[in-house]
Amino acid sequence: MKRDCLILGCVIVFGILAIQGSLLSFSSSEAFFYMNSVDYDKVFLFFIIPAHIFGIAWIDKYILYPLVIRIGNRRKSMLISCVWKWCFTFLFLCIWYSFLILLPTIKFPIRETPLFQIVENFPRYFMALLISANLATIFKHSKVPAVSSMAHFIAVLIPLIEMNGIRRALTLSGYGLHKFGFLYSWVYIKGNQVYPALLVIFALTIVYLFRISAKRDML
Amino acid sequence: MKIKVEHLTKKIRGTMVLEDINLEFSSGHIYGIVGKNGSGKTMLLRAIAGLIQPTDGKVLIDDQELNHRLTFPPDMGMIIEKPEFLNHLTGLENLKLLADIKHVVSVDEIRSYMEQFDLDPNSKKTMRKYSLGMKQKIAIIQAIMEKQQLLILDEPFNALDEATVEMLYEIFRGFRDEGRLLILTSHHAEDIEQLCDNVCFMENGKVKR
Repeated sequence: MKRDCLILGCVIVFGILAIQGSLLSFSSSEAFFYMNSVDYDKVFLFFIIPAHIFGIAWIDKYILYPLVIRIGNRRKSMLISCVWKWCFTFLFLCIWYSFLILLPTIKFPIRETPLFQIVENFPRYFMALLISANLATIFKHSKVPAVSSMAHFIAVLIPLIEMNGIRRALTLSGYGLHKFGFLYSWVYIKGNQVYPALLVIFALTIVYLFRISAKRDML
Repeated sequence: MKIKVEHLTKKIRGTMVLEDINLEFSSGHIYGIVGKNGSGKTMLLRAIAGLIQPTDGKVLIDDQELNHRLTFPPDMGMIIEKPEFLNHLTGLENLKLLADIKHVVSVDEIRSYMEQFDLDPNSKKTMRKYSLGMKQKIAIIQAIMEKQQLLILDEPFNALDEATVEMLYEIFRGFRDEGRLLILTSHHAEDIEQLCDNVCFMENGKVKR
């Protein structure tokens, strides 16, 4: 009950942030500024990631031991839960993108709407959210009870720390990170090296997930 | 079905929770495990159910080692500690969700189990509003509804009224006569002694007798 209230509270806070962010984006007077505010890392950190992780937490609620023992195999049950989460991620992003595309077409002339720019970012966001879903699951299966119980919160915190803390500090201290990222900062790097990097991180999280799922104690 | 527990030891974060357990269980019997809170009863059930990996020793299910050739014992129904359900669904919806994985029990059968346990299958009440006793009944139904051959039941009589406990005694005896294997725990020795053919006592992670 307490946990449900906490999740609900977080959703309300993030919902307010999201509405505020959407209104600010929509108030842009030109399509260019609209695009900039949509592609703004704060939108990703404070709206997209928390809302997505809330969905992941909802899916995790379904993975109870009576379900796992009926599936009969830890790896299979892990794979099923991951597939649910990846499908949810795709749907979530499609809904978000349909709003992103619809909103500017209402306000700006269609030829001014930066549709290509909006769609171009879809694969980056998609990969980043898949990694985020996998990381949340890894934390959920941690042997450390504190990490396991705060898994979804940590999954929201990591991109915040990376983008607003580590990356910003490194950039300010002169280490221009224009072509290299860590986990989530790849989303905001231009160039084709982004996709293999995100794919490698995604693959590593899957391999790690399947390794821990076979040996995990269900306490 | 035959279950052999051989030199089973489990350490969690440096604490010995099970120490050199050797036990055998076979179909057509009801086994009871008695012990105080923290004696290791639940952890032993978790090990037999394949939920935890032994630090040392092994659990054999019909000569197949658990956590190697088998992930979980086949055809197992279980309750471990507090019942885990989706609080935003009704009792019937929770049971249907579980039944949908194996498709061996129909909705009508689930409804009749619920009626047998004095629960209204048409109730719109979500699990969040269920009392502890009602949740326990749903937990018992999910453990037995697919006519599982192995039942691992941790404190199955918790929060139940006397009439339901008496009914469960009869149900469990019926299962034994059908040749199923039941392993139960309780910290009330009288529950176990009335019902079980074999009883073992646990203390500090060890089997005392």
